[in-house]
Amino acid sequence: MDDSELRAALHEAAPQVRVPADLGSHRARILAEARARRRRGWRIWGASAAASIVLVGAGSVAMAGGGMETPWGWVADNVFSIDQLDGSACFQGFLVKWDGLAEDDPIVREAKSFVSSIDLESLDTTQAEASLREANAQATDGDGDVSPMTLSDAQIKQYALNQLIAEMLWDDLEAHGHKIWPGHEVSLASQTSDCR
Amino acid sequence: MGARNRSAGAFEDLIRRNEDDLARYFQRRLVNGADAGEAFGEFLLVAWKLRKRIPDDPEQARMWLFVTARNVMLNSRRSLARRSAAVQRLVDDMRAQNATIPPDNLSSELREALEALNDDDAELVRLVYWDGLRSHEAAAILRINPSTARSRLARTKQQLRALLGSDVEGPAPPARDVIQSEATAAPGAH
Repeated sequence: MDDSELRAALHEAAPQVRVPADLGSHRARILAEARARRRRGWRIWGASAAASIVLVGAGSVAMAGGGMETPWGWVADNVFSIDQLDGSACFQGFLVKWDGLAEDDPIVREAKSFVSSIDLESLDTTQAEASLREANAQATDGDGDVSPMTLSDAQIKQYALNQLIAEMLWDDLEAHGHKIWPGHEVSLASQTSDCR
Repeated sequence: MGARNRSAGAFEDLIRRNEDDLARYFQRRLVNGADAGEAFGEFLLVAWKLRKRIPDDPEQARMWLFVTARNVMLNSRRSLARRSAAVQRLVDDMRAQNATIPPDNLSSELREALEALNDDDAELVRLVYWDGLRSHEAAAILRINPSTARSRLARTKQQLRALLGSDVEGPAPPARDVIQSEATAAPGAH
């Protein structure tokens, strides 16, 4: 059997398969479900943010001492605020939490050190915000109909920061060879004042 | 470097352009239609999760998708797909389309011969002759040097020819001898 015959035989040996005609529909449904699951995660996060209004009160944001104390009584690893036109401020506090680990565990120390070192003021969130706006515009309801979600610019900024910092943190931990598994994990918590 | 903020629309466009080839990739390797559907669903969810790592260049992005597909194939856990009702619908549909055309004798022998090869060598042959990729693309997916892929392909074809010849033409040399002689010939093969 010469080379061309072998090549032809190898081509022929490929299993004859037929791609489902409605593969595109399946793909759209699978990805829509994945996006919806992600939005549900955001909504849970957003619900806790809304609850913080009671704790904060309009325009009551004040940072004391080293600047990492939050209006909710806990000390953040990093904080961010957006000045509003009415003189109030949208406040956001980030905190590294851990489970099944000691506070001085290398992964906890690395995570806290990394989050506190991020210059949130200069962090470019433009693309993350654009991506969130696009996803919100394409949001669908439980029946699969388009039902855009409307958020203020400040809220979008907060969501974008939350997403970006979490991704940067996981990348940093991975780059430093840290592994996370159930019962041996760090997480990034965030709380924000109301920012309509 | 990947596009850290690849939009949902751009991601879906990329998948749309490559999904038929990727679905066939799974169907050719997993004879059971339901298994192929579940693997394809897992692949979609993994790619979605990791979409910020996808390269900007369309060709590199396509190769990234094939690398991800291969990783899904190598990992028998389908942890994302098994939590997805939408993937389950695909699995059910593909289970119903399970019928495949039986191969002829030569194709059966070739498939058996491929099974007998080293996993990476067999996958190189499948990527090139089943999936229609160029050898340098297959090299990118297997993370080997393109020239290594070419020489390995030439050597593997010699092995296959010898394995087939042994069936057709009578007494076969022991497989170990075949491999030794091909290894000697490999440095000159391109």
